[in-house]
Amino acid sequence: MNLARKASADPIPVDDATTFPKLLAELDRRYGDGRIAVQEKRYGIWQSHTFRQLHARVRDFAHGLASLGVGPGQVVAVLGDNRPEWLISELASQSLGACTVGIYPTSVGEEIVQVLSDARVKVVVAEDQEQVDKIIELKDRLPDIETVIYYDTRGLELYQVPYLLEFTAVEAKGREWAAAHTGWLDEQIAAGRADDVAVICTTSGTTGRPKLAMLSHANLLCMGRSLNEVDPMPSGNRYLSFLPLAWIGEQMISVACGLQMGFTLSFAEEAVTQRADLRELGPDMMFSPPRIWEDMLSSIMVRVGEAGWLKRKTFAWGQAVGDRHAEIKL
Amino acid sequence: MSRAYRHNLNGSTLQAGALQMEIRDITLRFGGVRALDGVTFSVSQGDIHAIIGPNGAGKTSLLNCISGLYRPQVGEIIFHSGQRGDRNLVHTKPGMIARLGVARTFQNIELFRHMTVLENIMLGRHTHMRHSLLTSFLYYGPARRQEIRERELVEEVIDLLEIQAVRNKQVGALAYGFQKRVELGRALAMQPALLLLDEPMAGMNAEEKEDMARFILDVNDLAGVTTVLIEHDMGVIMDISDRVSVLDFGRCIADGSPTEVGADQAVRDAYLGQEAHA
Repeated sequence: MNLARKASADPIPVDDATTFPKLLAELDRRYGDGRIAVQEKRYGIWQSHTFRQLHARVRDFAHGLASLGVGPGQVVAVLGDNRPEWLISELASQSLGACTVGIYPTSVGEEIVQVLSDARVKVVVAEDQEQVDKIIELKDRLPDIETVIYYDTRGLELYQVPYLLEFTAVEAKGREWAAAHTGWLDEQIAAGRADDVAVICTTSGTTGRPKLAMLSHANLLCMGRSLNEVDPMPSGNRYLSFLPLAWIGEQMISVACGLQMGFTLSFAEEAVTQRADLRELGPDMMFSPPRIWEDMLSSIMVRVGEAGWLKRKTFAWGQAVGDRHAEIKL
Repeated sequence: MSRAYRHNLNGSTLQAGALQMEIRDITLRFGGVRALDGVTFSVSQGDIHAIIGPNGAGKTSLLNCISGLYRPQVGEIIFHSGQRGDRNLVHTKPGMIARLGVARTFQNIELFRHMTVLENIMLGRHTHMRHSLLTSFLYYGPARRQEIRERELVEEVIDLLEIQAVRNKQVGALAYGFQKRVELGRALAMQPALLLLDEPMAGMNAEEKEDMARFILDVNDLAGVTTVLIEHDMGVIMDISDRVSVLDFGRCIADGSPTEVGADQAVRDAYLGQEAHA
């Protein structure tokens, strides 16, 4: 294996005071505007945030959440597809000593009520009209909810709901709040310990109602580090994140590995464009459960089966080379 | 970094509710056949105005008169465009009518089948593009910047109509429902003051109709674009339109809110009754 590549695979050192917001600050120091932290495809092109831009937005949003009364030990819920705002909400909550619980965007009714009431959530970050409508409909059963923050404004412009706030408005509020509380956030971040709860994930719920599992920074960081020992993931890897961030697996790779190694995370444009985005991006690594690989394999094999003889021969040759390469690497 | 759209799709400067178009006594004859016979009604800014009627009632002919494809023998169509003044569309060339902000879709999809979705919708920006053939051909300097600027608006339309997945696909290879959306997209890309939709939901299944109705409402609610549409699905008409005009054998037999028109006996006899017997 290439030594230079291996050297760059060394993760940022961690200790019992390491939290994700501290890792983000370190990545900002290391790479600043020189490396893309997260990008999403929107309006047909990849729109990016560098580590510095991401860090700045996380700080603004953290201040904004603080102005809404979010503090240590509280839980902020995020309901939506994988977008930069998801990650920003998570890191901003953690900066305040709070944590996030992700709700799958396909969840409805009882599932949402259960997670939000069990975690005593006061602030929900919801992606768009579809998700906001769900919360509004359930509001009577969720007396704890004080604020719902949305980031895709389409269709929400005309809503007259007092507890609705736009994501950018919270960021703006945060900037104002920060001006009056200089240095406050740095103290909050410095006070964070690796044993603090970082995220809450729901169990699969195969044998009953899903339970909420509290995962500490230390827990996630250790998972990421161990994974990196077995299969080194060099810094600067391009990674397409398309499985829900509410799922522990995606948290492990995108956040735990991503922030330790300094990945460039990419979010697909829409669920239906995943394959095209994948091809366009040519990611260095992917992470999926077997079902997705099987589905991908079968769709490729069907297309190869329908192709002409020259394409089939080329594919067979390429596949053999790939197999040999993989065996040598392992 | 707000995710709100940056471009306003509404090309009209009129206040909502202001008089936008007056159709006065329009008569259109093909030889001995009177396709339209003294049709009079008006359209207000910001409304979804439905035109209904049995087959052959003259609905599409009326739309063709508005967009300048047909020239009626009698009557006038006054289009109020705010700052740009009032204009009689009857004596205006179709290209000029498009420049005034009248955009339309067709009953039998009229798209460039061998071009991509993106290229077709970019064509909607044609009236807003200013550069010469040479600079455009070389894709150089201002022409390139213009293309990028126009593409931003087109991408918002693609986002609004949720056709990202087929952005680079040839239109001819798409399902019918998608083609209808692309056609609506091309009309929207013009930033129309008045949108004419000729049977936007014909031949669609219930789910596709629901999607299309959602898009029409979005365009109307959010951007405030006045929409005149022809449609046969009475359920959809009653649900989404603000005003309904009914044509029968070239004559306007009723004009009012959906509930008024639904209760009108002449309309029931001419149209709804017929459908019930069919």
